[in-house]
Amino acid sequence: MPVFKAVIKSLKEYRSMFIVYFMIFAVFGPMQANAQIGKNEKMFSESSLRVTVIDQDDSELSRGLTDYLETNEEVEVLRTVSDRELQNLNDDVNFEQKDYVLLIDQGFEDKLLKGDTKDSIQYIKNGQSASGYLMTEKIDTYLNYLMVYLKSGYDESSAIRNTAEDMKEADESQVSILENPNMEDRMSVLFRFDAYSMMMMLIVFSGSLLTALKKKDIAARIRVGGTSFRRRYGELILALLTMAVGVTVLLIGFTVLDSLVHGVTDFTKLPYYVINAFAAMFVGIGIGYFVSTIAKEDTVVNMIANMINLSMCFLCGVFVGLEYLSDAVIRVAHFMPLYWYIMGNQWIVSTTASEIMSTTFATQLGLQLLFAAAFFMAGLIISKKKEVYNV
Amino acid sequence: MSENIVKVDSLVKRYGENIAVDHFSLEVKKGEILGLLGPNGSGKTTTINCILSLLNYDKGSIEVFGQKMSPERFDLKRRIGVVPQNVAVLNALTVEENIDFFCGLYIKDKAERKACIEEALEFTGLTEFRKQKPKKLSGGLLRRLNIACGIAHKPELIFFDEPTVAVDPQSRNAILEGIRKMNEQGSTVIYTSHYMEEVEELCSRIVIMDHGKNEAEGTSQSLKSSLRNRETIRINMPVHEKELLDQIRNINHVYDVRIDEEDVIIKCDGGEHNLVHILNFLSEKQLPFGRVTTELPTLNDVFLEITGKELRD
Amino acid sequence: MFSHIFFYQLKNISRKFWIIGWNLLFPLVLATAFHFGFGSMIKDDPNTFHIVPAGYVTLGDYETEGMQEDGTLIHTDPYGEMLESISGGDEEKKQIILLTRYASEKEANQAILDQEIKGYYLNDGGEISLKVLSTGTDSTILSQIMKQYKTSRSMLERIAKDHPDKLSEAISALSDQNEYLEQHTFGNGVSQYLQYFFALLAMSSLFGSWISTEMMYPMCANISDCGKRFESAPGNRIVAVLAGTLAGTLLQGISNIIVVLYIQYVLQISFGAALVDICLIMFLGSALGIGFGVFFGSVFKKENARVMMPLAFSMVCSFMSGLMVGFMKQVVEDHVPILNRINPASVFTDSLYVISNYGKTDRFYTDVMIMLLMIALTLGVSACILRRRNYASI
Repeated sequence: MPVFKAVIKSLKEYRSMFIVYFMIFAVFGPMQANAQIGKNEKMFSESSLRVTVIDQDDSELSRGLTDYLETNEEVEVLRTVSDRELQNLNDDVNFEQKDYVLLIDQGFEDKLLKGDTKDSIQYIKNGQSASGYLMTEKIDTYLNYLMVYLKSGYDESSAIRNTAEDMKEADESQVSILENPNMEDRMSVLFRFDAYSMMMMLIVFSGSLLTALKKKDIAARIRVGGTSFRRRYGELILALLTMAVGVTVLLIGFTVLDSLVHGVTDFTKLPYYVINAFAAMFVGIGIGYFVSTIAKEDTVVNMIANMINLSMCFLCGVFVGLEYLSDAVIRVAHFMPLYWYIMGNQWIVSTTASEIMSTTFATQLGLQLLFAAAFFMAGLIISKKKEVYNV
Repeated sequence: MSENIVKVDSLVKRYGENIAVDHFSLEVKKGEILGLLGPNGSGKTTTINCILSLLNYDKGSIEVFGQKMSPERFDLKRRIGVVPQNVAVLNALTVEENIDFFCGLYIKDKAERKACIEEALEFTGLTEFRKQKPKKLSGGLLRRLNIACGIAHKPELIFFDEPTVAVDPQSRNAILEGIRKMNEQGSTVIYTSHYMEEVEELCSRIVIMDHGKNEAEGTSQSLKSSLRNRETIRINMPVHEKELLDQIRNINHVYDVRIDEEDVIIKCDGGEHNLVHILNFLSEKQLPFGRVTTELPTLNDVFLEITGKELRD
Repeated sequence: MFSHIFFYQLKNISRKFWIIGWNLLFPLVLATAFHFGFGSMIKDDPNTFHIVPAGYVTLGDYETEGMQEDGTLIHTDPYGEMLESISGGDEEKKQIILLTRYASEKEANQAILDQEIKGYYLNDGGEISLKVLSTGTDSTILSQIMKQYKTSRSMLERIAKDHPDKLSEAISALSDQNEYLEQHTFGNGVSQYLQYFFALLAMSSLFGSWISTEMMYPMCANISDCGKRFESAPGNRIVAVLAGTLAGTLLQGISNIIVVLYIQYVLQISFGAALVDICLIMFLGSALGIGFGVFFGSVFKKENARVMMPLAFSMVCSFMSGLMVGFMKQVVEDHVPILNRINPASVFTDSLYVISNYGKTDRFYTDVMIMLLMIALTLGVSACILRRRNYASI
């Protein structure tokens, strides 16, 4: 099988590219997984927020507020900060290393008692953070209740104590969750992030290998080689599949390994993730094949592959969760194959293992395969036409 | 006596364990076309690269225009033109732009350069292709462009490194004719090739190189004269008896007789009218014979005698 | 010779379609993708107010409050009344939920599963609990409503006991919910999403390293035949490389500025700083990418390496600066800050981030100095390598 052997041997040239994209997945995937899981826990007050309080007032009321926050959050109290330190705190919040910063200026207590706290109490939160938003609500609520107590004749210490007690009691309210869907676990985050590296490698490898074979003289030599079109392309497809399966298995293997290392013991959903990944694998080959019909050089293949893959990853929820994307974008994303891979992932996350295999999942897999077939057929047609017209 | 334009003395260049140039010496006189003949891997290109100071070398000395050559000798480099073995042009630039770009490395004055470009285009027959990009040119035209880029600045010394590889006969003849013209206009040419016919046709003096060594040097005539074999006669004959062959061997100036299928090959070391003597002998013996050919020795024979192998092995 | 090579390198590079495509088109495509993806969130707060559909089920008897004249208990549903008071479709009146009453838990459960409501309150003889479908902002809002009610209730009970004369005042004060907190801004108020655009610009600047490897190709004898011809010619190679570097920087700089103008004026996303300053930083970033490319071009000979190294370098540096995982730069800052000082993408994005958020602070000038140093270092090291005038092997 000369074409098969030639293609497999040519893979050696792309060793360094494989290492680069694999390392990107191996380093950033787990990081993203760690961060995402932490974020999920904060959404429903299951874990504490990291709050920094800069209390320049150091009054009974400001201390009372800080004490109240400490009952539930991880609070760091500072008395003063320089401008640079404040910027650093802002950066920490922007880049999710801290959740919230509360600035209590000198004179806060006096102003609060007068009912006007303008410029005396401020916050810094991440614009994307819902938990930050709710923290602001919580503090406003606390201050409102505090003021009610103060206006009702309580002294400061009683008002502080009572407010804290009332809010603590309310915090123990019963909330039950009927189900826990869409809360990504480690494996699902890794499989989501895997899409970037896997697609990148599959598109570039298949695109570059096929482009090399399409070079005028090589292609002519192959064409006159005596084997039929069907046989030639059969071997080629087999070689590409071998490469693709290898890449996919390696990435899945890493995901499993990482999950094991991080204490994941439940792998009942793993087969479904694997099936979903293999469906996406075909998409990668298909796009790579199609790209090879337009590109004539490796550099152009890389360029197109990066453009398609990065754009698709951003628009289909690989890097930025679908919940952050606008409805219009999500509608457009329906026409991209990676969207259905992500939806497949989400379906697996949000469904019990025994119910995953369903029409929904089959549709998501089917659409991916359909996209792959469409790219494949388009590339095949263009190749055949070029051969006929000797272009 | 013509001055030496290039003088290479006992040049040694190693690539690890492999000695690419082995105590090679060479002198190139002003105004001559020196042919550097040798098979692939004999060290021709390595020698050229050393002369041009592209490669460092382990031993020996190189002088160009009577002065020691080194990478910083821009004054010497300005007088040299290079036509490398592979086509070395920028695919994104047009024919005219390519010539201008490389010429501009030698000639700063725009007006002077413009005139040189026009001449180079005309000289190489590329005037009508000036606006085209290299990708649109045929192999022969590309070679011409390759030459144009190397000679546009009218160098005194030009290196041609196998310029006719993969070129059609028409273009090849044009190239050789062009080189002749440049030489007539005063340029000294060093021409490397493994095609003996070209070297014989073009070069005033030839150096035969093999395994990095200077194996022989001289004009085409003097090299061939150094051979024992001055004439090879091939006769198509059905009779191959040993006694007959011995008798042929005894004819004056015949020093070697051998059989090649149905032909008898007779080698003569000098003398005149060898063919007449041999045919007379055959007629006297009433021996039938068919086609008869006679060949004068070639450089391949010279090479074969020196190295024991064919030039194209 | 400098100007000759400068202009021809400009022509040579600008005519390579794939370089233009890569360095100009790709950032434009990605910026557009970002814009469609989350561009609206740059202008709006993602947590803008929206009404949450909620359900309400009562079980058993209502609370009793007193007795009527005929002896029957007065049942009230203060919680239900409170929910009604904040229910509606009018944002102006700060209605928070859209309330639907259900006769049974089963009906309400079904409504949740059908996604008609985000959750429902269960009032079991005065004991309030909340059932939600899943965690999330809406569920937390519903939870907050319940907690606030309970807090208000226990507060009023306490005040009624301790200071009954102040009760009406307390009730009045409770209904006036003030917003005491203000957001602290640093003057420019740019969105955190802009970080993605900064990382994109860093990546596209580093892609300039491909321009320089392409630029170096015809000038080095150990890389190409053109290079052999070039090095056989007279002329200082360092000068030639500098001319090519300037040409590359100019092209990359123009490309970057086009992207900046596109983001600012077509996508209508402000960088929060003067355009002139942003453009100057772009040129600096371009020179950075070109400088690294010259370095790669002088070190790597093989074609494959010349393609892969700039790509790998750009992608890894961009990743580390937060292109894919937004907080990455800060994680590195907190654990291995030195990496952020030597990663050109991180230094570049930081300079844009600082000038956008805080203006031209010391930190900004430090970033600029580091970038200048990197450019000088890469070109300096390359000059040392390229100074080697002839080769052992070509």
